Amino acid sequence: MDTFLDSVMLSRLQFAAMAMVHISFAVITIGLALFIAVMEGLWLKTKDPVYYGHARFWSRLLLLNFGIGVVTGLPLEFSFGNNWAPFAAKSAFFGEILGTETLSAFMLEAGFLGIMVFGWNRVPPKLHFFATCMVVVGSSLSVFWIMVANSWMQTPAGVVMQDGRLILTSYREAIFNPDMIFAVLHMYVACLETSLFVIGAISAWYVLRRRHVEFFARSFQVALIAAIVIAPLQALIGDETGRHVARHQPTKLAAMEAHWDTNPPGEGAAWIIAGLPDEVNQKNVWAVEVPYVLSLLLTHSPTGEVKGLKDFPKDVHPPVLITFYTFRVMVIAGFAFVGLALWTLWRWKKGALTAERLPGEKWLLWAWMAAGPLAWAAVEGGWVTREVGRQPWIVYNLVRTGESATALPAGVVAVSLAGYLVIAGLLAAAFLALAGRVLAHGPDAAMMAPPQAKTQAD
Amino acid sequence: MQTLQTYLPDFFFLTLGVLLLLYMVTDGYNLGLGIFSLRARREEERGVMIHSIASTWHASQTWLVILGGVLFGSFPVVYGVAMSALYIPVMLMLAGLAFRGVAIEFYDESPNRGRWGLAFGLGSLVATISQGFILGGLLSGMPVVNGLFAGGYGDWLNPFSALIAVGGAAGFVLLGTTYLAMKTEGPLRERSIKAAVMAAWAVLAGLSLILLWMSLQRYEGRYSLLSLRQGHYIYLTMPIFLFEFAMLLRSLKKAEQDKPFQWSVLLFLTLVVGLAAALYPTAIPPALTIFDAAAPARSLWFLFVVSVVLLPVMLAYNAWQYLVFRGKVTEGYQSEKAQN
Repeated sequence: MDTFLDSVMLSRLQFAAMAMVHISFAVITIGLALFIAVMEGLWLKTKDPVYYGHARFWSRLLLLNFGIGVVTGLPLEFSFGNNWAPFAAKSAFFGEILGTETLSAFMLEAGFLGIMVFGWNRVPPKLHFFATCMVVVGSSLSVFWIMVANSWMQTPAGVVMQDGRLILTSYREAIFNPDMIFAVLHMYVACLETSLFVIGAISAWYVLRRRHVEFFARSFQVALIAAIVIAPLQALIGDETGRHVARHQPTKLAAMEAHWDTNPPGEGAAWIIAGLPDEVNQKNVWAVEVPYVLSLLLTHSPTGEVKGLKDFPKDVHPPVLITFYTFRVMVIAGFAFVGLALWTLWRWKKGALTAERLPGEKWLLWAWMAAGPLAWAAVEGGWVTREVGRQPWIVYNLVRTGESATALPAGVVAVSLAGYLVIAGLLAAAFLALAGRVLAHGPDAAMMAPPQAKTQAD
Repeated sequence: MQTLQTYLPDFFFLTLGVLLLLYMVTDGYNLGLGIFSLRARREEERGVMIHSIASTWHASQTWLVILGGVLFGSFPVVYGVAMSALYIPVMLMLAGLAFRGVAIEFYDESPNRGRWGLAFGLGSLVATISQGFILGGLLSGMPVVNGLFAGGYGDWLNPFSALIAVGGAAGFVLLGTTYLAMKTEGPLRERSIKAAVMAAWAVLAGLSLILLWMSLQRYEGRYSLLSLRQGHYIYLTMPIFLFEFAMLLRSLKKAEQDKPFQWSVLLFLTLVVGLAAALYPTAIPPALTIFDAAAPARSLWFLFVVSVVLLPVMLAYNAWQYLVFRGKVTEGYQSEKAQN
């Protein structure tokens, strides 16, 4: 244990904890802000007070979520200096992208959030809508920049190693690195998908309990339209992302699939549904396989070559067990969402999703309620796959994680990690309790009526 | 262009100074108000304090995020060295800020307002003290070898940084109470003015002790800010500081509306300018300069363009935000997110 839990390992665990906590809130902020903007836009267009009510109701949850998102994001930014100082000193490009993100995205989000949540009666409706849109633009830009920075760590381009530092040779290549476009798309769509399933789950809960059925049938209908488009879209993006990983990060792909031996010419690589990878002996103790499928998925040919992990030296192997199973969590969730989208589409075609008939669709509503937490699990699974699968590199094939950590005493990091877990646990529990209170209380009639005078003046 | 390029590290030294000032002033009053809230007499009073900043604190805290991001981008070595050397106070600050921020958002929704009110106050206190130790630790000097911190992880804890922490807390309370005097009415306003007078004297006492300490260090031939090449600039700012201090006391005595807060901001401006003048061109005392620590020229160009375009825009919409939420906050005030 002494050698396993050294300062570097503890720093990695701490970063993982911080990232996994922060992302749960960040994805919701991004998607929910967009949902609110759509509702507010619909209100301005149709003058239907239901949309105004939605904008106000979800804003309350957004604010709770935003607060904890902001304070859990701050440690992530600082950790690049705190725990990863050698990496910070070495990778100027990463720092400037992070700097650009703070300058272009975060203030836009934070500077307009106050007006979005508290300014309903202080600025005219159109100006308010502008503020809401700025929050959406800010949070969306932050997805873009953070994925530029992260994708560059996955498939670094436009830099050369010089005197131990990564010197930039081309901005175009570094920003538009091979992974970037699909990383941004995959993450942005994940934000929308997660938020929509959470909005759908909450709406389903109200409808099932027959509270404010008409009101929440509306948000359910919006969520399902989006889900019907977005869930299949995400599956397609994910499929393409997989092929990118196979091309640019073959060790990660092999770990994701627990694929040890390259398939000989003329034979197909099998896709493993489930198994028990043995990392010491470099084989699977047992595995349930579907022949040819891995080759088919990645090369679109039943016998296309897929490199096995054994083709690479052992000191560049990522942890297989974690990568293999977190990837499966994400993929299974993704397929479940596509299934749910199809089921919902079928019920919709049957006319079962009107406010009158929706409360009768018990099984469908229950499935939607399960989809909320599952979406969260998919995001976490995807991120763990992405980051653990990149190991042992912090910048793939260029800089090792082991040489990038600050030489902190292990005890100091152990205490900060424990402290972080306690505080994050406390705050997350409080968040759930308070969000639960807001939901139990439900939409407030007084708050839901649009400001009449202002609407007419507008 | 070549000439401009040689000045890029200077540009970022200046920009970081501006960002530090923006953060200190805008979040300084939030944090100082948070510390003052520990002495609120009734829950309603604490509610007024929290509501007076609930709509704008996100932007204030974001200046810290930007300060960190721009520092990382422009002087990655400073970012790595300072953050690792100050690991412990930075973690404590983050914990304090976490409780402070979440408490503001949770306050209105919670059945236990008292508990979150206390978290708001204690979080603000911990964050403020930690920030004092962070600044103090940085100014105490750090050994740097090959671009990495080569000192001890407890170096930041020393008499000098402790003085900065206490003096800084007094300064934030001054900002917080003068802000409150501007935003409230009645007994709370009167008590804020009284507290502001005390905080102002505490700031002066703290600064005097810090100067005394630095002079002693210099006398004994040890490092302090004063032994830097331009260290004497600190003395030059003193007359200006004392003038502003006198004006602050005068406007507090006359119980003016906005003036005490404005004079407090000017005090901070003077201190930051004095500090920057003394430090320049040092990035981390005693030896690391901004030229040693700067990112490669191309990176600086990139961030230069981004900053020059975006900082003015940012200042503009921040100003608009303060304009929208101007005016007094009263006890009858209900959070507008739950009100029509």
